[in-house]
Amino acid sequence: MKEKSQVESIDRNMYDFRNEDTDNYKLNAGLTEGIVDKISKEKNDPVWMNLFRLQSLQIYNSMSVPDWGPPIDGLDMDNIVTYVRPNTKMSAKWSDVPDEIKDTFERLGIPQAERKSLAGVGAQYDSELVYHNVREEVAAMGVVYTDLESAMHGEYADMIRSHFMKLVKPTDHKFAALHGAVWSGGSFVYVPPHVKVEIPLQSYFRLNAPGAGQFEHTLIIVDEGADLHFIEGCSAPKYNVANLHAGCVELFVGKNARLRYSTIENWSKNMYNLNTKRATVEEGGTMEWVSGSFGSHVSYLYPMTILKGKNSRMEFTGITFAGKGQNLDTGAKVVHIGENTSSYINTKSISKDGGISTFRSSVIVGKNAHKSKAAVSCQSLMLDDISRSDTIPAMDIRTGDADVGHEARIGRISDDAVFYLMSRGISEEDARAMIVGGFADNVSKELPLEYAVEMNNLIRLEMKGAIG
Amino acid sequence: MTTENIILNPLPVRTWNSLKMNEAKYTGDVPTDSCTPEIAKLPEELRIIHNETLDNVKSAAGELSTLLTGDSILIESGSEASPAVINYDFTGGKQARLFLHAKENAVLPMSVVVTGEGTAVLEIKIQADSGSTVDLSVIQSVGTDSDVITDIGCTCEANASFKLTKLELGGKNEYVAVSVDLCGEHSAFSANSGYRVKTNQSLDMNYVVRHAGRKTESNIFASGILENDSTKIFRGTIDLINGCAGAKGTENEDILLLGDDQVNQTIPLILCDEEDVEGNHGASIGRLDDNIIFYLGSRGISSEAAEDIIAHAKLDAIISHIPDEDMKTLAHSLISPEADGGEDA
Amino acid sequence: MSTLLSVNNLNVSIDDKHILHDVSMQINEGEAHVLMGPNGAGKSTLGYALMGNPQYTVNSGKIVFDGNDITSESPDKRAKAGMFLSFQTPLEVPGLTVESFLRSALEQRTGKRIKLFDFKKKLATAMELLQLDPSYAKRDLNVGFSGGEKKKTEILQLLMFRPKLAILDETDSGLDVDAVRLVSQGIKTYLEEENGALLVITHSTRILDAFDIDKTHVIVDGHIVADGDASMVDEINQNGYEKYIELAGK
Repeated sequence: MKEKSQVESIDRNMYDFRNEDTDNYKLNAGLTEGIVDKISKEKNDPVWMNLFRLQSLQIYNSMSVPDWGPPIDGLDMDNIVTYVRPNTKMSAKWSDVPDEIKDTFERLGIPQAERKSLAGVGAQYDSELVYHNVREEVAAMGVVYTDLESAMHGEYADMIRSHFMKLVKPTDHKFAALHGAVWSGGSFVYVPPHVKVEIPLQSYFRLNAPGAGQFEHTLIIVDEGADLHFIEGCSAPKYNVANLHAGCVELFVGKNARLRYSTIENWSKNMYNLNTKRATVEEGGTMEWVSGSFGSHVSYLYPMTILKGKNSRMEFTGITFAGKGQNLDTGAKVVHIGENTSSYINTKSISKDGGISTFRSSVIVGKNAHKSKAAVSCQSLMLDDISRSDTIPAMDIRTGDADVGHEARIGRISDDAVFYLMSRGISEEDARAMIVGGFADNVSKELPLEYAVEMNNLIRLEMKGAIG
Repeated sequence: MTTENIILNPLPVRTWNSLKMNEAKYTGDVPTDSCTPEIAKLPEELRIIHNETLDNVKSAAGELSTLLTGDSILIESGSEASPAVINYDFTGGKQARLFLHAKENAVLPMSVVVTGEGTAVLEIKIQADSGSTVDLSVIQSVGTDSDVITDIGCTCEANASFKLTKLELGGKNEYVAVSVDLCGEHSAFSANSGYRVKTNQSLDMNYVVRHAGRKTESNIFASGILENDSTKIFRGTIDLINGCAGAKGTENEDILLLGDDQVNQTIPLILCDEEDVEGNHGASIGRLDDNIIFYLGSRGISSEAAEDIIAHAKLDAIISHIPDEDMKTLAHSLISPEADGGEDA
Repeated sequence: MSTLLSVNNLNVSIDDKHILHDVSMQINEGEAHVLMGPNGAGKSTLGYALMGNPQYTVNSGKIVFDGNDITSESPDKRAKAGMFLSFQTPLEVPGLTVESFLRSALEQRTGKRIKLFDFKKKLATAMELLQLDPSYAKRDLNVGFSGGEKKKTEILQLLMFRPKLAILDETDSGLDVDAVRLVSQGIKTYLEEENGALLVITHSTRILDAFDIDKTHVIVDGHIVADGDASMVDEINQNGYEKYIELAGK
C-alpha cells in the first residue's frame, strides 16, 4: 500500500478502536454496557451521548428483529459484537477483496489507489485533499461540513444534541437502537439561512476508511430558505469486512428550504444493509430523494419524509436492481401532517438471475393534512422467470379532501422492442441493456452527469453478467 | 354463541406492524347456530345436497375456518342453469355455509341476499370445473348494529371463470375475505365490489388471487363511498406464481369520500415470480371533483345532490353486473334513499 | 448488376400457423421492388421474416443476402450486413433518446466510435430534410410521437444508417399528403446517394409516385401469385386484387 500519497488518518479513533480489545471481544459474545462504555470513551463522548448510547443499548436488548421483510438469518444476532468491533483477524487485505469487486473496479476504470480505498483497505488518500478544498469553499459561505464526532465538541454541540436521533429514535426498530448504541463516524452539515450551496457535497470522501461507514451517522440541517444537494456513496462497490451496515441519516429541512439527498448504494454482495433515513420538512420546504440500490445481499431501505409544515413537499425517485443472491427490500415512506402538502414517489425495480426485489411503501395522510396530494408510481421489470418482484404499497388516508393516487406495474422487456433495436444492428445483449437503461432513466436523469454515467455503466455491467 | 378473539383477513405478506394493516383483530361473537337458507329461486338444472361440503378450497379469512361447523348445503350445476336466489336471515346471530359446484362446462348463476339483525357469518366455497362459469352475487344489507363476516373461496380449473359481484350496504363491522385459485390455464376471475360505509361503520376486505395456470386473468374492482367517520381497509393481493406465463392480474380501487374523518386504508400487493406476466394496480381516492360539482351546479344541482348522484352512479355500475334481474331491482331499491328511510323506520 | 437478396422457397409460420408458402424473390443492387397484396396476405410477415423476427419461424427455404446465407442469423447481424426494415408500427422505447439510440446503433454497425461533431452534422441534415424539429433528437425514441413523426423517424434512421436494402413496411399508411411527400423525399435521397435497393411493402400506391419501380410482386394468401414490372402497379390501381385472388384460388 505504498503507491499514491498516504495521508495520515485524521480519524484516529477509528483505527485505535479497531486494534484494541480483541480480548474483550472474545469474552463478551453479546453487546454489553462495558463495550458501549468503551466505545463512548474512545470517541470522547460528552456525558449525554454516553447516556444516550447506554439507553439505546437497553432498547436494543429489549427489541426483537422484524417479523416482516427479507430473512436476516445470515446475521449472527447472538454475536452482534463481532459486527460492532471487527477483530484484527478480520481486518481487510487487498488480497481478501473478492475478485468480482476487483473486476468491477477494473471495468469502471477506477484507478488503483482509489480501488483499495473504496474496498476499505487503504487509508485516506488524495480525496482527502479534495474534501478539504470543498470544505473551505463552502465554509466561506458559512456552511459547516465536518465529521459528526468532532462537531459534538465544538460550536455546534447544542445543535447536535437537540437533533441527534430525535427523528429516528432508538425505539424505532432494533437496528436503530443498535445504531444509537454503537454509531461511529459520519457527517454533519449545517447550511445557514438563505445560503444556497451550488456544488453538491459528497459524503463519499468521508466513508472510505476501513470499518467506517458501517454505523455512520449523517446529520444535515438546512436552515430557512437555504438550499443543498448532498450525495452519499458512489457507484463503485464498497467492500467491508463486517457484513452489517446499520447507518442512520437524519435530515432537517427548514422553512422554504430545499434539500436533495442522492445515494447510489453499491455495497458488496455479502452486506446486510439495514439503514434508516428520515427527513422532516417545515413550511414550504422541499425534500428530494434520489436513490439507487445496486449492492448488498439483503437491504431494508425506506427513506421516510415527514411533511410537517404546510405547503411542504417531497419527491422520491428510486431504482433498485436485484441480481443473483440479492434480496433488496426498498421503497419509501411519507407522512403528511401539514395542510396542502404533496408527495410523489416514483420507483423502478429490476430483478434478474434469481434476484428478489420488493417495493415497499407507506403513505399516511393525517387528519389535518387537508388538500394534500400523494402519488405513488412503481414499475417493476422481470428479466427472467427465476427472479422475483413484489410490490407492497400501503396507504392510510385520514382526510376527506386529500388527493391520493397509486399505480403499480410489473412487466418484462417486450420481445418486440428487443427485435426493433436488433433490426437496427444492436446486439441482443446491448438492446436489452439499452431498454433497461431507459427504464432506469427516472433516476439517471436526476443525478449529476458523472454519477448518471457511472450508474449507466453499472447497469450495463449487471446486464452483461460481468459481475458474479 | 361464543365470544372469540381471532385474527381475520391476514395479508399474505406482512409489512410494517406500526401501520396496523397486516390483519384484522376480531373480538366478538362468532355464532354457532346454523342459519336456514330460504331458497327463493331454484332452476331445475340445479341440485341441492344437504350437509355436504367441498374441501380443499382455500380461504383468506384467517382464523375463522375452525369455527365454521354449522349445517351446510351444496348446490351442483351440471349444465347451463338459469339464475338461482338464496336468502339468509341472520337475525339472532347465525352462521351459514354454502358450497357451489359447477361441473364441466356448466353455468351456475347464484344470488345470495344477506339480511337480519345480529352477527352473521357466511361461508361460500366454490369449485369451478373446467370450462364452467360461476356467477355469484352477494347483496349484504344487515342491520346497522350487526357484524358480518363473509368468507368466499373458489378454485377454478382450466377455462373456468368465476365472476363475483358484492354489494356491501349494511352492518356495523364487516369483514370480507375472498380467496381465488386460478389453477387451470385460461381460467379467470373478476370481482366487482361496491360498498357504502356509513358513519361509525367499518369494512375490512381481503382479496387474494393466486395465478397458477398459464394465461389466467384476474380483475378486481372495488368501488365505494366512505361517509363521515367511517373506516375501510382494502387488502388486495395478486400472486403471480412461477409457471403462470401469460397471466394478467389487475386491481383497481375507486373511492369517493363524503364528509370527513374517514380512515381509508389500502394495501394492494402484487407478488410475482414469473417473467411473462402483467400485474397492475391503480387507485384513485378523493372527493368529488370540483369541476363536476361546478358543472352539475351550473345545471341547478346542489353539491349535496351531486354527491348523491355520483355515489349512486358508482353503486349502479356495480349492480349492473348482477346476473338476475329481480336481484338488480332489489339492489337498486336498497341503495335508493327512500328504501333507506323505510328500513330505519 | 449483382444479386443482393435472394429468397428461395421460403416457408414461414407463427404460432404453428403457416403463413408464407414457398416465397421466392430476387432483388439486385440498386433495384426498387414493390410487394403488393390485400390485407392479411402475408406482406408484413415477409418483411419480419427477412429481418429475422424471432416470433416467426422459418420452416424451410433460404434467405441469401449479399452473398451470405442469413436464414438463421439474428436481426442485429442482418442489420449490420446492410438490411433495414421500416416498421409499420415503430416501437416506443422510454428513456432512450433518439440521438443516443442513433449513435449507439451507428457505432455498433461500424464497430467504430463516431465523432460527435460529424454525427451531429449528419443528424441535423437528415432531420432538416424530413422537417423534423431538432428537439426530437433529445426525445425518447418514438415515445409520444404522432403516427407521422414515428414514420419520419424510421426514414431518419434509413438516412443515418444507409443500408444496402431497405424494406419499407406500409411507410405511407396514416400519413397526410405533406408527410408522404417528405418521407418520399427521404427515400429518394437514400436511393440516389446510396444506390440502395428497396422493397416497398404496401397495399396502396401513394408512395410509389416518388420513384421508379423496377419490379412488382403480388402476394395473396401467403403465395407470390404474380411478378411483373412497374405497369402492374397501375393495373392493380385500376382493377384491384380480384384477378390475383382468383389466381391464388387455383
